[in-house]
Amino acid sequence: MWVIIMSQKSRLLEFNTDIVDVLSIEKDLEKIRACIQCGACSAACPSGNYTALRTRNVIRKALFGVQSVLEDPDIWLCSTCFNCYEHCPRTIPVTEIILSLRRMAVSQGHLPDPLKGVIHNLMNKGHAVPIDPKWSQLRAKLGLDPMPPTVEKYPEALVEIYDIFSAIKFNSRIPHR
Amino acid sequence: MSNDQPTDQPTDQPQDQSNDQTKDLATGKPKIGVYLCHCGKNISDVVDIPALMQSTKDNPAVTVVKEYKFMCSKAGQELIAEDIRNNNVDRVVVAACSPLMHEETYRRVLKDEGVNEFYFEQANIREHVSWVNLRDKKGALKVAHDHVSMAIAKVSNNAPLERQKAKVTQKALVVGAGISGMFAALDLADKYPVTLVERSPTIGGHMAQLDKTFPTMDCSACIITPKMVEVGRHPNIELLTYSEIEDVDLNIGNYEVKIRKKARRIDHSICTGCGACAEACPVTIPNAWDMNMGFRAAAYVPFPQAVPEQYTIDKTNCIECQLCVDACEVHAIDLAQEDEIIERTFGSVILTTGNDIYDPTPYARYGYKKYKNVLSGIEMERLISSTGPTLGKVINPHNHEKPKKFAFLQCVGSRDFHEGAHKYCSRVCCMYAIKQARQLKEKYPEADISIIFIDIRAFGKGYEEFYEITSREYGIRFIRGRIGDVFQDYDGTLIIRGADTLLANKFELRVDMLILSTALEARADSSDLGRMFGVQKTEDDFFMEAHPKLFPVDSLTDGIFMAGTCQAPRDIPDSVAQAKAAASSAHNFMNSGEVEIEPYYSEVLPGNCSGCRSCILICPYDAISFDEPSQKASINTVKCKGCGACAAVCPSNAIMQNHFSRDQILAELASLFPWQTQPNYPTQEGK
Repeated sequence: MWVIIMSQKSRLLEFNTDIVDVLSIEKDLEKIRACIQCGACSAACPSGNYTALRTRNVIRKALFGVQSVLEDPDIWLCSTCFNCYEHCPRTIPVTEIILSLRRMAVSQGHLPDPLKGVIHNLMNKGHAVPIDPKWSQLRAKLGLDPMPPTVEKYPEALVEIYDIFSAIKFNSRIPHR
Repeated sequence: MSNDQPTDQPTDQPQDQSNDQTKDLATGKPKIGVYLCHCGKNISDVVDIPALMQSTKDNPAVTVVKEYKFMCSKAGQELIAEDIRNNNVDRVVVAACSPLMHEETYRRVLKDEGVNEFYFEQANIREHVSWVNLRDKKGALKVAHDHVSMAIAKVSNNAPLERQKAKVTQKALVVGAGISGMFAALDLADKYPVTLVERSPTIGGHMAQLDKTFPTMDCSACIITPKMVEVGRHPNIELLTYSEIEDVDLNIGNYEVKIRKKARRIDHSICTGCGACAEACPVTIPNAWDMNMGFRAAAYVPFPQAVPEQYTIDKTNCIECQLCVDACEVHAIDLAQEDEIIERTFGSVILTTGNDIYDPTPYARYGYKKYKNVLSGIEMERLISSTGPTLGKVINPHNHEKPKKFAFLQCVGSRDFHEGAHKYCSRVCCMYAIKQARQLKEKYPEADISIIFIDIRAFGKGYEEFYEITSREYGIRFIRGRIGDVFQDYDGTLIIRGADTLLANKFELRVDMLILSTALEARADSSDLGRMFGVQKTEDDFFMEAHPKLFPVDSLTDGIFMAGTCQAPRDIPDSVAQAKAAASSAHNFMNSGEVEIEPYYSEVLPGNCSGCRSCILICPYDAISFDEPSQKASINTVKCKGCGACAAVCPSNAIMQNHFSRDQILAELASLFPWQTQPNYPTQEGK
């Protein structure tokens, strides 16, 4: 039994500076290295009152290169209210760091499912939130064209949107269609 | 590098034989010896010493170039002494560390060998070159060469100077009568007459406001009041309370100080301290000594054990109703009393002006001043104190009931890099919060107490043990974390939302009182005093010591010392230790009765002076006066610190600063930019 356990890959954390090296490219985000783990960011986080987001944990994992920070949904629970930034005694731009982590997560293919739907809509209908049938019916009832003059009505405009997406390299960043 | 194994023996270099014939001091050109120090590996690891030696040897002005591992060592000094003795060298350049470290050492070598000590220059190739250019060795060599050639140019133009001596008045002034000021005054008073100036009506300072002191839990009043009485009684201490420094004339060794003795409206030679005036006084105002929680009359003593134990009538709050005049049996009250200006001359000054306490109102999230039951640490101290507004009974200021649950929040205003807060650790907050928590537990064993901290810094003697006993025996909850928001419920309880970083979870705590452990900060008006005494301030607004490790109680002005929390936040043991150190430094300074003054002062060349008075306006030390009969400026050489501002501002080149004359500085610059001064100089690359 022990032999099996011992022969398995150890589950201890291994630290690296991969994430913090990328963050440090920006001068302001480099302040993450000065974090004293006081917990003011977690304490001030309104999202944390209702969700599992522990801002301090996110920062520490990012600082020590723990890969799970990019894979877990925590960073997507942030409402970007900037409370943590305001409370941080070391003036670390916590919210900016979380946004940076999101960008890194997406480029590595870690995107939460609800956001995949949003991108699917954007790609296929040209809108993150396409028109609801309820509103179409209401428009018809009022004597309007059931489809407002949007990309959804003119699918040929989708090509233009694709052009914009490829110009800003959105396609290559989002591996999920 | 070839210097990995520097030779322990001094390496003699062949001297320039052509110079041997011009040894005569009077007629020959100066014989300059350049000594390069390896400073162990501090310099030689970065600066290529053999290359620097070669480039220095190429300088035609130089006679001797030598290198050694430690020039400051006995053997290194002997190297210089030997060359002087053999008449090879009469001016010396040492390229080594900062002149602050060893200039005095080498000057002494020159002095001992009978050469004027100002025929010496130190090129700083450690702090200014090797330590700051660790990764650029090629650049470092270039900069080192510049430093050395500038020093050579300077030393060839140096003139012999003599240090002057000034008499020192054997009297001391101590500014501020808190615990540090009292100890400094008591230590000095056995030898010298001491004047102790305090601006509040009583001595004792912040320590007198405290109830108990950590880590021994001894009563603060019990240990400070005997010392206060001793200060009040000491025949050699002139105690000037309710007085402030008005003006200082910075004459080294003879500081002429004007002290404003504010009108107390009560004649202290008669007042018996009976308190009849305070009873008669109809005015009721918040007592600042009780952090505005208690009340006092306009005629008052701040607290019962005050020294001097005599009353003061507060001018701004007095309504001049004359009731106290009738009440006073000894007729001590004189409402027409005026401020008095006292002038004294002192040999040395000790600044012990103490600290202010941070006002946590800017942290709106903690609800200070918004909710009555959010207090600062010092307010809690007064509330616990048996001499406080409630006589030691802790009550909830919101509903005046007995509180049961308490929370302490640490690091309010300290360790915060935001504008308006302080970056430093205030050193005492951890311990005073633990002490107050323990006192509350002793008074109310059923109390539920949480201390919310970032780090507990129990650094002093017995502090960690105190922390251990408090958490083990008193059952105080230590939460490592921070508070996000504080709300008040309808019944007045505070709802605290925070994060426990060790559980990695958020918590909600309901408490009756929240105590914010506020930072210590520099006195708001310390800039004025600092300017008067010529004491610089550090980034955090506290007074700056001459050297953080080697001269911890000295200022950059001779004869002015500092102690206690005017210099940095510190606890009582450290303040007392510093006060005693400052007293002994002041004694050392005054003891000989004389002080040597560096001859760097400026002089006016009367032939050139046009009497425009620009220098008088610019002098920061008030050292220049205008001589009316001759219509020329004249400089008081004792007051002059040699900053050179006057020499720079003078439109007619009439001011010459010793050791930094125009010729000397221009020669230095010429050696730095030879292609600008020598028409045939090849190129910058040819250097």
